[in-house]
Amino acid sequence: MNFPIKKLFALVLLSSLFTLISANDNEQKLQAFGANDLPKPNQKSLVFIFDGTGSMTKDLEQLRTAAKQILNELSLREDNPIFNYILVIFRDPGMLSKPPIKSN
Amino acid sequence: MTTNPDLLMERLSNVNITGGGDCPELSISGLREGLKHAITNSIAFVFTDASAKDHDQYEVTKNLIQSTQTTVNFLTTGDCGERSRAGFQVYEKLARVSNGQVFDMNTDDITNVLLAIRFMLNDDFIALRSIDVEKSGTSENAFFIDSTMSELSMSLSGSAPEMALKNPKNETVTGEEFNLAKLKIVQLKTPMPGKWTVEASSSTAHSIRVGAISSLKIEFGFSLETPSKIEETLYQPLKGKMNVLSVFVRDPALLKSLSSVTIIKIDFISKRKRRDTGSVEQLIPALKKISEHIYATEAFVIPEQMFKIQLNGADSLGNIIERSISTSIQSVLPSIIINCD
Repeated sequence: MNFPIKKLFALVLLSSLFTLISANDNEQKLQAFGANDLPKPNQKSLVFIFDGTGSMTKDLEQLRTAAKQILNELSLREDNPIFNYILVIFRDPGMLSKPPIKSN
Repeated sequence: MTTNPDLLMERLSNVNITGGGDCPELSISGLREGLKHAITNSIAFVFTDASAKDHDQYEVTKNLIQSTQTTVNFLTTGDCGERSRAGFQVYEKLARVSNGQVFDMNTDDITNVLLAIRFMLNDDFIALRSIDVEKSGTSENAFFIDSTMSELSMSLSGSAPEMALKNPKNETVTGEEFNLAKLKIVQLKTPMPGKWTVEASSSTAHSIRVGAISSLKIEFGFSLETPSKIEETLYQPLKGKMNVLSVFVRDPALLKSLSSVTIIKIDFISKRKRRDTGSVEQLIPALKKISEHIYATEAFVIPEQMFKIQLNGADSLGNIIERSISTSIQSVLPSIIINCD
């Protein structure tokens, strides 16, 4: 039986090191290319972060009006520069919410 | 989060506006959440009428901006009456770090402002220069238009904004304008290649962003050794090491050459210090052509503080290329990256 002990040991050592060190938010994003579901090189996310507290009703209407026009225009383009849309609503402490993640 | 715009519109229609009461809100947590899911080189807009209760999340959020190279703009319709304090100033700091701006306006202006700045969503849109002025007054700023640029845009956020634009022949040029009490946007099609100047003034501290639509697409990345492809690089250099900075060009036919990068060190000036606006020292590593699409520096010592990268070169017609290619950047401690073969 061919048992790669060295490799296993290295993996165990590495994974324990990894758990020790990775406990921070310091994520670095490596770029990935190739799959069909991935964004094209120049595409971006369009992120809206919206204050959902009481005084913002009219602000929301304003955003919706603009978003409707902008999204319409973007969809008419051959190459949509936007890969995906992210909406985050923030409110009072304890009420941070985001819509569930949905794919195409 | 979705790739379907109709779903976004549906969500926007279903937003539950509730609560309120106390003024500062958890806006930075909201921003952080959005940035976590964004792909690289994205654009974010924060809408609020309050300062941030959670401004202590500045560092973590700044790091997310830098690791994703996302531009963040704030559309604010209020400030809890504490504009000069940390809760609101965190918006200015994060906008600045990301080459974005804080736009102050009335609620009724939101639609028009978003429409006026929608050119930023273009995949061809690039930031040329970012200028932040800590006090009221007038400044003259220069920037270079090259032949890859089909449109120029400038936005000045500050009270009583004024901008006077001159082309390379020193002629005053007017473009399409959008004006509010605290915002002025000027757009111009087919700007002549060469050195342009804009004289900008405001009665308060203000920010100026010069951008363009350009067919020349540039990416950058740091690595410890000369890379053979962009996937071997990261947006944040490693602390305590000498790093190679590489520039990746999609369409090299548009270029004559790329000569160097300028590392513009940034200091945030606290209001108590009496000094002129940050960005003082410069470091200018030369670029060497490694392959058809890649130019790289020799490994060099990365500054301790934040910096921005400016690219220097010439386009295929010999016009000067000088443009910003990054948000603010800061070196980070290495974390273990495991490759699964």
